[in-house]
Amino acid sequence: MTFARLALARLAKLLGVVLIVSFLTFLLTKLLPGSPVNTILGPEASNPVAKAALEERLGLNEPFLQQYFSYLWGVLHGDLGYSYSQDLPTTTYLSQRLPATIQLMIMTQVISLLISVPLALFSAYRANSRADKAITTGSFGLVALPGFALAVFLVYIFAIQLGWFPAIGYDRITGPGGLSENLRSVALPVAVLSAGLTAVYTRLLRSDLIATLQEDFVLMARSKGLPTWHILLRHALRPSSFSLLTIFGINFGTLIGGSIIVERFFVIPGVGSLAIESIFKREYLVTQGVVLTIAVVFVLVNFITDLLYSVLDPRVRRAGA
Amino acid sequence: MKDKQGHASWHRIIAVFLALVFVAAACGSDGDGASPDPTGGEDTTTTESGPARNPVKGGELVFGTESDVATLAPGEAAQPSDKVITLGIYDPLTTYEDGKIVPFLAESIEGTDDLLTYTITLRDGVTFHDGTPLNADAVVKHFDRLKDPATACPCQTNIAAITSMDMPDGAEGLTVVFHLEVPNVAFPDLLAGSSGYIESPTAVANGLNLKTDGVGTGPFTLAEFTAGERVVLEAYPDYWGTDEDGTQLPYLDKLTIVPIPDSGQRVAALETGEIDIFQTADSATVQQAEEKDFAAQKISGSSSTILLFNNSKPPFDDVRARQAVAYAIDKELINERAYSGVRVPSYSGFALDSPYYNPEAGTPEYDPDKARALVEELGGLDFELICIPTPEADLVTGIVKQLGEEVGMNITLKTEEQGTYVNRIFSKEGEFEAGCFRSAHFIDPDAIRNGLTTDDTTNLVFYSNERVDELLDGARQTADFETRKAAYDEVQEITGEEVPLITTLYDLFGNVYDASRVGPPPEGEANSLGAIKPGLLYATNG
Repeated sequence: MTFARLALARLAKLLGVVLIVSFLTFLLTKLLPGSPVNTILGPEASNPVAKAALEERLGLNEPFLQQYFSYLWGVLHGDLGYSYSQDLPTTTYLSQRLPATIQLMIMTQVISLLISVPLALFSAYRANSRADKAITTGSFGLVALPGFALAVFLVYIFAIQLGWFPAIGYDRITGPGGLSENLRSVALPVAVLSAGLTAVYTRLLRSDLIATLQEDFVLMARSKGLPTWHILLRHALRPSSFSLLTIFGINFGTLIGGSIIVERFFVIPGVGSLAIESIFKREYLVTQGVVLTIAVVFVLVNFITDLLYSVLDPRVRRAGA
Repeated sequence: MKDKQGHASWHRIIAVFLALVFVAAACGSDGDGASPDPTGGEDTTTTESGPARNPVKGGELVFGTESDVATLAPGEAAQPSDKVITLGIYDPLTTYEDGKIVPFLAESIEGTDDLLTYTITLRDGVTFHDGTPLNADAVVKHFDRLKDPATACPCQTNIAAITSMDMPDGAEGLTVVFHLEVPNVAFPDLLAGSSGYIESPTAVANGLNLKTDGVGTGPFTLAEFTAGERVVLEAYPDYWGTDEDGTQLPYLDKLTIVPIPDSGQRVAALETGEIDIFQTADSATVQQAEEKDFAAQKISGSSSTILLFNNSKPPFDDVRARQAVAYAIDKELINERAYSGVRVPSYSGFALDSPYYNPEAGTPEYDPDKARALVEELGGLDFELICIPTPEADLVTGIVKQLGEEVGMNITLKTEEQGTYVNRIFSKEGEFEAGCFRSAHFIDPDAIRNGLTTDDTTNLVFYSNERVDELLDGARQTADFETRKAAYDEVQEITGEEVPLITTLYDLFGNVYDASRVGPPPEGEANSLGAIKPGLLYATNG
């Protein structure tokens, strides 16, 4: 199967998944007991005029399927609903919140890789040495440490005691502080998010590398007298990175919606905190829009990951979609 | 203008704040909603008298709130985080001073003897932030907008009581006459809440989104609103208000409000100097901050945590069952275990210093023997207590369960996600036996009327007593203090005996600040769960 056909087949599946996700997020409001109108209006729900007005606004007076298709039609036209309490379209919130989340996501992934790849290479090459054991133990420790606990610890040391970084807030690059303030404001959240990921990446890559380093072609390379760094980087790394790539892809999706605790703790105006705020405020339409966006990003990233597999390993292409 | 202690009163406000700790988001709004509060309605807001204020003009402060802004719209803003901002952008027509209602943006407010007509005269020379003059037209347009079903204001039920408005001096004049459907001594109170915040008619005509933007007559203009991030207020140079020394308000040049949901991070941000002051409903945070030598202004009693009974269904349609629970609850124990002893137990919805508080009445005090005897008389008492899943609620309901079981009750605890729970209570389908709640208390005792009146849509406990209905109806139709006092005294006696619900402890709200940067904050705003008027905040260094 050619790369293009593979991509097309994957894309078709992706559309199917997005359609299912859109239906499930739409069901969100329907599955809740009682009417969202009661919850939004509170005591005023007993006022039939107010109730009817809101039902009409939310489109709840239409038949179920019609509601779904109007919703889908809206989504296809970039209308992800609006906030009831603030009268703003969901897309406005997303455009305000995506930059911080994307920055956190990319910086976390890049920093995690920058640290974990050399550590894993070193650890695998010196498997069972003292240094390897130290790295392994350290990774276990970091994986076991919950993000919020690390966050409290880092804030105490680096914000309160040393005053190097702010405890809360996000400075936009376009703000008065420019890039330097922006980087200072994301330093602690990125450190918290990266800690766990770095540990996982190091562990995964290390064990795959150890297996690869036992392969005949590595022995051959060694016997040819190739330098160690050349063998590790040019021969062993690529075939050892499948598990890493899978987890890396999944983490992109997780980071966009899953850094809720870190975003809320550090008051980072990101998509995760938007999701939790809209749930707390009973903003059903915003919640639907945010969940759908997170799902689409998740599916897209996994689509790209799938394509990358075939780049890394031609056998995937040949095996078909 | 009527005097509050003496006679007056005012409005139908009731709101049920499910906010903050027991239930994390507010429902309803000030001026609107329902209070299932049995006995109170009087001002229970008391601010601990703090250090003397020596205001300085100028400077900037950053204010941390517990949650993000819900809405800034007049008639809708209700949560403490909304109020601290909207009280900067807008001026209410009336306000409270030392527990008495006084005109504020209005220069005067006069009610007729039949309490059916109120005449408001506005301050002269006041302009909105966009330059539009404040006049009768702006006020009438404001109330017309709130009454419009398209606005979907949660205040509609209260505003609907205004049948018509006249402008005797014309649209450009300063006088508005309100005609009410039924006599209501509490009408001026309605105008002290967010329903009384007057917005610029020009801005509304230009399509301003009042939920995220605002053009009022208040001490600050809204310079920036970024949801979830910050709200920036800047001093309005043409503001009409001055302090007692004649200094023009506001004191601050700029006030930035940032939401910090994590209580530990609020304290951390105060320590690092990223914020200067924050508001909180969490007793533990106040204590933690005081241990770190920060100053705390404590505002007690503007609401209380309560236990609701479904008075229409077994087992709580039997007054003995309700009394048994009241006798079984040791409020001091809850205070000690859940709140480090900083709160005040409540046996009445009225503040202890309220002129309407009846010390002779009130719900039963802890008496396990009486509780046990009643449970035996009933042949056992099994019930389900539903609450939302917060650590605080778990702790309190856990203590209630333990105390109840000590006297032979069998209590099943159930938690339910907040939205579902709110829906369960407000749907008025009566699908609960006992539940937890937070109820706000308001300055005027009429605030309790809807929550206790038979078949009222906001009587969430299904309580019904003809005499109570009669007393509450009568009390809102007179401005005579003695007559009203007698009526509310009797209501407290009856509800103390019949226990339609139990108030447990007065809530405690705190404004925690760094005294080296912030002057002592002004008194807590009535009816606002600890919110303060930001125009009166000042920075020590100016």
